[in-house]
Amino acid sequence: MNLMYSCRRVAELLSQRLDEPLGLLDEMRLKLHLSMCGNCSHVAEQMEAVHKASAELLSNGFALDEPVPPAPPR
Amino acid sequence: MADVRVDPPALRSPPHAEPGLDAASLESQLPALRVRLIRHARYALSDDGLAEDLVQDTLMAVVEQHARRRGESSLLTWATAILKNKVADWYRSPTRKRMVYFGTDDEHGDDAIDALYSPDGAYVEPVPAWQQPDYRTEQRQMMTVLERCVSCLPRQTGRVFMMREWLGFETSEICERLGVSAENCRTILHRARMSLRECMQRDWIGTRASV
Repeated sequence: MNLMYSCRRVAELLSQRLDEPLGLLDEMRLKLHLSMCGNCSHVAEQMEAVHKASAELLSNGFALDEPVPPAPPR
Repeated sequence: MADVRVDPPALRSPPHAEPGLDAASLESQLPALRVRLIRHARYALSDDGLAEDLVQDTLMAVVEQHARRRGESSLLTWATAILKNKVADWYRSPTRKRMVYFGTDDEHGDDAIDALYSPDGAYVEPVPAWQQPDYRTEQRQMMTVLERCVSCLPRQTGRVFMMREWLGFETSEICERLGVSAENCRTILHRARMSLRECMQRDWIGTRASV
């Protein structure tokens, strides 16, 4: 058994983790990989950021062309 | 109430009015609200006619319940929550089950993800860190890009993404409602998220860096 997952497999688990708890072994191997791999750590942060921003965007109905609130007084 | 509105409502009045809005003012906002909600519903459904029907139901609920509305959320946010329930109910309705059709997207979107990795599954190019947006204008810019990225997802992929991230369905429920395997569902969500990450990297981070 290969102890290290590939970055590709790690990206799949990072997505899966947003939907369901991972098994203990997957979780351990994921953490081990992230602790040693800068690329995957960035992907993990970014996938999380996109997940959070999407939730906000979607619950507000893509409310993007609402007027920008006035700037605070100087 | 005596003021005369000279601007076209669809352009002038984004649906963000506060609770307590009077009926005439609500009415003037409905066309713009309808357009916005249809766009939203289309991402979550395979059928445009169905999206329009559910938005119509939503607008009726908005008009009926508006006077009793409580809370701080904008009209659009509130209406989006009503639409969300209607779309979720539609997916959960047993009589409509056979109407749910899940097609497959073209595979060409997959190539971009495959290209990220070497044959042994490592990243070909280093993955740069993202700097989080600092100011409200930057956050808005990020959201604008994200919306465009979501709208560019292949249709069926976008639909699964919306069922998960907007409707909040568990993956097991998505599988059940769409008749896809758990593995397939995971793969679709993974590809959706990687595509969004790539799209944000290219169109948001990439443009920020060059400014």
